[in-house]
Amino acid sequence: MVGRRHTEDRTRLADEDLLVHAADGDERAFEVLYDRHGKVAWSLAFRLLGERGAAEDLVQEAFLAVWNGAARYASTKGSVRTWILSIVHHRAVDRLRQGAANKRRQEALEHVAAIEPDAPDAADVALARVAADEVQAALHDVPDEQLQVLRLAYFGGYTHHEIADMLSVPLGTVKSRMRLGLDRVRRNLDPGLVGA
Amino acid sequence: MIDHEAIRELIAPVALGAATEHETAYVERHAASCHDCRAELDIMRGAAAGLALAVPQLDPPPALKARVMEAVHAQSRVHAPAVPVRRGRLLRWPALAGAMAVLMLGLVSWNVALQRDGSGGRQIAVATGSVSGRVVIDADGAAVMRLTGLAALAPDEGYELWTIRDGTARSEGFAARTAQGEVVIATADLAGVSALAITPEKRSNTLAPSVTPVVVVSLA
Repeated sequence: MVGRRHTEDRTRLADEDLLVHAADGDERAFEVLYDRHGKVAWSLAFRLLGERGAAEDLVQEAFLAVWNGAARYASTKGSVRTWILSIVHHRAVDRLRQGAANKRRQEALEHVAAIEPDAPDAADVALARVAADEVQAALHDVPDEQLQVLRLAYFGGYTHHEIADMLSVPLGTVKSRMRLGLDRVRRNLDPGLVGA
Repeated sequence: MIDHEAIRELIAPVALGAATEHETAYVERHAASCHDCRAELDIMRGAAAGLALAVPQLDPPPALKARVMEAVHAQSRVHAPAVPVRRGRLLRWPALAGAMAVLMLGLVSWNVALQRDGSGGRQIAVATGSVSGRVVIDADGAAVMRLTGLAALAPDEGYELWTIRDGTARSEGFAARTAQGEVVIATADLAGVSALAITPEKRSNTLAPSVTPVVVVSLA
């Protein structure tokens, strides 16, 4: 890896410190960030887009954005992991809304459930098939009507206006369910996982 | 007058990425000066990120890390100091400037379509000959250009992105090529940039474009 020589073990640094080094052009620090968060970023991208190639492109693009925007990260806006996942999610939703995944969105609409990834090999298919169960387990006490809007919004890329239309419920109800659902998720989360 | 309650109702949709561009901008503007709403927005965004952890955690393809690092490395190559057009150190730059001026006047048959996305950014679709793609500019002013149909180059060559400010070209590094054959490159700072250009270059070149660009995108 071309770049500056770094004698300090980057793996011992906190995410925020790694970003500071990355902003200064330290590729090794950035590599450690990828090692820490690449898996969850990939998992989210693959879950949302359902295609390996598209997910790979998205993760590459998102991490490039992290690299280019490292100097603009502010810890007051949440943990580094939250920030990276926000970038991945934001760009994935853009893709969904651009229509590239309209077919899957339609399937999500029909099933009012999480998107089932179109995995390219047996292992991925097997893992994807348990997705709904795992989500359900992690969000076990989120009422169904709240989980429904969270899934449609976060994994389906739908706006709250679209969700209100498709569920035939008032917009205020959708917003309320989103707030209550997210609040429930927050209380269930290990704060160390994503920070806040 | 700010409707505080209306803003609080929008915080969850914004955190989930489910608000409109206008709503998101409205909430962000307010949260910039309201400590309570800023804190709630950040907490909700953390919770939304928690949803990402609830999906099956799959190991990324091993080659993906190499692709990411290659792209980062390409971007981190020396960003050469800006080179004024008239003082271009490469003789073909005046011709290039002329070609770009023509392109920007729309006198050639490039299909450049601008559209706004739902998140405060915009997209520019580009199509010329066998090359097509788009430039996605996010709300923070960073741009990602993705192109397909560009010819393969020699190992010591790459497609270099140039930002044009006041007729001056500045290297933004070399693009990466994805597994699908797309050429991808990003730049974080578009302040004052009137156009983006792509030229095939020797990877040792970061001074100024040496040939007529294969793609020029006007941001004006």
